Amino acid sequence: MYNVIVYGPGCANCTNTEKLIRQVLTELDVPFTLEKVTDYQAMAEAGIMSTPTVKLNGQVMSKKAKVPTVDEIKTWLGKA
Amino acid sequence: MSMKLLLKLGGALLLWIAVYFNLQTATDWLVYDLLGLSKTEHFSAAFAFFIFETPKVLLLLTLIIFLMGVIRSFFTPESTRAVLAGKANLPSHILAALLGVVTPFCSCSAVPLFIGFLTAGVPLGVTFAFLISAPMVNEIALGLLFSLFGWKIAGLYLAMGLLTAIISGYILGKLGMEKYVEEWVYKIPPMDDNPEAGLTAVERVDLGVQAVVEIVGKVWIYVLLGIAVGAGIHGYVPENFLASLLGATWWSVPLAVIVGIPMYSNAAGIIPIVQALLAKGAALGTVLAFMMAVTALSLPEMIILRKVLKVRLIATFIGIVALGILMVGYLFNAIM
Repeated sequence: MYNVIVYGPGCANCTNTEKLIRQVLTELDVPFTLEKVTDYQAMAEAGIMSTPTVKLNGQVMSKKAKVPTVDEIKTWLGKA
Repeated sequence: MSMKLLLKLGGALLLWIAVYFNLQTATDWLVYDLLGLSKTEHFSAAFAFFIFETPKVLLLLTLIIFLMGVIRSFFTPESTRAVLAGKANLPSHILAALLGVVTPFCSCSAVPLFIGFLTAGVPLGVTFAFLISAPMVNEIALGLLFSLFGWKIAGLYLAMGLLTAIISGYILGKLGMEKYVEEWVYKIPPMDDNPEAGLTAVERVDLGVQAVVEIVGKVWIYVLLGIAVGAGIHGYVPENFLASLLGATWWSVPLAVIVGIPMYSNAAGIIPIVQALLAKGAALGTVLAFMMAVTALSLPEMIILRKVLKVRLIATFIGIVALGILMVGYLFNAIM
């Protein structure tokens, strides 16, 4: 089971990140939940400073402030 | 760094040099020999300019964006925050403005970053110095200015942008406006640093390449437009068409700032406009003030900032930054 949270206020980068992760997970046909957090206060409480930030099963995966590549997402999923 | 990576980088650099320094020869051959255009005609000169300028600018841009991408891989918002926490003196404002240039930053993360800085004990003024410099003095703005207008204008923009950020941040800090930050921000517990494992040389180069693909892939159209404007309007619009309106008159700078503030665009989007203004006799200080106002202050950003800042602080922020940009514009116009 993959529990993914994408933190981002809704700019193009964040929306694309969410879309791409959903696409990869759907293609891999694995069970997952995908949540998008857009509220600044919730973001701050989770300790998020750059967006988009991706959390997988509670672990921060990327803080590069950019849309991940498909390969990167697959590497993250392998680690979880 | 592995041998293989070094060879690849060396090979790429050699290829870059070979292409870059033969552009003029290749253009002349293409335009005048192969296409047989006349050297005296106005159209062929404009066409040759476009054919020469486009690859030249894109090559320079690629190199700069790549280098900046690699440099940025050494910085994270977390490491920057750790460096800036605690100190509210002038050097820390200077450091914050400098780090704003090299820390990876997407303008939509301005608010999370703002909160992250404040809760970690970065003073308000230092935080502002960072937040003003980051969107204004970035690799896209510098890369484009350098490739299109040369290192002098890029350097001046860098220096003046930093100066505006440092002074504005310093003044905002001195005003003691912490009470105009929304109360809930200070109630957020300090965040973990979530340290990330160091990157390998290959990963850093990869990040540089990704930056090139992403940024050049996005801005090439504006670059082309900018060059086309430069080549195209030449001769059709009188050379000093704008000189009377946007030359070094006392009111051209405030006009540029007032028009620029509500506009929302990244550095790439306004490059064609900058190109056109400069080509037609607008004063350099006026044009740079316009570019700074567009990138550093924008209506959507203010609406987002309203979630963490009270109106009074936002208004002060706009006022001080606008004043800083105004002075930069006047200074430029006076010395150029």
